[in-house]
Amino acid sequence: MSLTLNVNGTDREVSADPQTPLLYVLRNDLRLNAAKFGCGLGQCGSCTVVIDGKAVTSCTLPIMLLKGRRITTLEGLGSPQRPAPLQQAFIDMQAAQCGYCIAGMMMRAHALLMSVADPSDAEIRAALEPNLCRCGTHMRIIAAVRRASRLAHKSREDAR
Amino acid sequence: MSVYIQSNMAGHPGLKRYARTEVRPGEGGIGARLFAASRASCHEGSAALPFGGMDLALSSALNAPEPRNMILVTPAGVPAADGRPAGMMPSFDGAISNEDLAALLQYLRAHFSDKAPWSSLGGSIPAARRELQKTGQP
Repeated sequence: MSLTLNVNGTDREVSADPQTPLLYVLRNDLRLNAAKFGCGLGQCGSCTVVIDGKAVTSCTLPIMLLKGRRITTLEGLGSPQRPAPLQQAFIDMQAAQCGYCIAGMMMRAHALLMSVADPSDAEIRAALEPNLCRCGTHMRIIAAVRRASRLAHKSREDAR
Repeated sequence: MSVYIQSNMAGHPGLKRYARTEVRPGEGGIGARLFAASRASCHEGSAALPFGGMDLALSSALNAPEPRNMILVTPAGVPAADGRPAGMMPSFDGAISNEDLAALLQYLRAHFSDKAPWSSLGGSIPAARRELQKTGQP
């Protein structure tokens, strides 16, 4: 069965069963490999993407729910050549060890920064709480989200 | 208060025997297909609590006269507890529309409980979800 998904601003035609989790379609059909398969139960957050501004675990999200919704993956924020402020901040702070959780962490942080431009540490911790990191990179991740908020603020100022 | 506690805690809610949800491609209503696609792996899986989801036939929220608790918990999920092992449930708030939530909850009510369908379901959902947004959960 064919279905149209709006991914990173582009309509993409996919041929998959409507019950297929979005994560499988992103990785296997659309070759967008940033979102990772961790637990498959919505408990670890490594598959997090943003749907209409909200962070969602894509492994428990059947594509039948996604007609007319705007899906953003990490690939939609920026590229290696032109990283988004959030991606630049993670590079600056070297906020990754094995890196498996980082795409999900960044998407959850992206959803936070869209609703709260200048979050406190407590807000960052509360927002990222559903995402697990087993390396213990948390302090750098929090620092990177703080930095992303400052970088985004600066780029808004520069654009004035 | 005692009436409220009694209504939630008094013995087992009418435990209904049910068949595992099996939906072939292209078959079943939207509620059944949603459950099979995203919920059954936990709620009808083989893992025991807290690693698997609870048996929904035992859910007092699903057996209650009003759908309010189900409307709140399905989008909000159950956050992980701090510093102790406990069950958790992912938030489905960003994933599910009001219409799809109504279809899912009607399916759960019919499949896992022997109570009458909720009459007020569709009308109660938008207000309950707005309330959820205000409290900051999830």
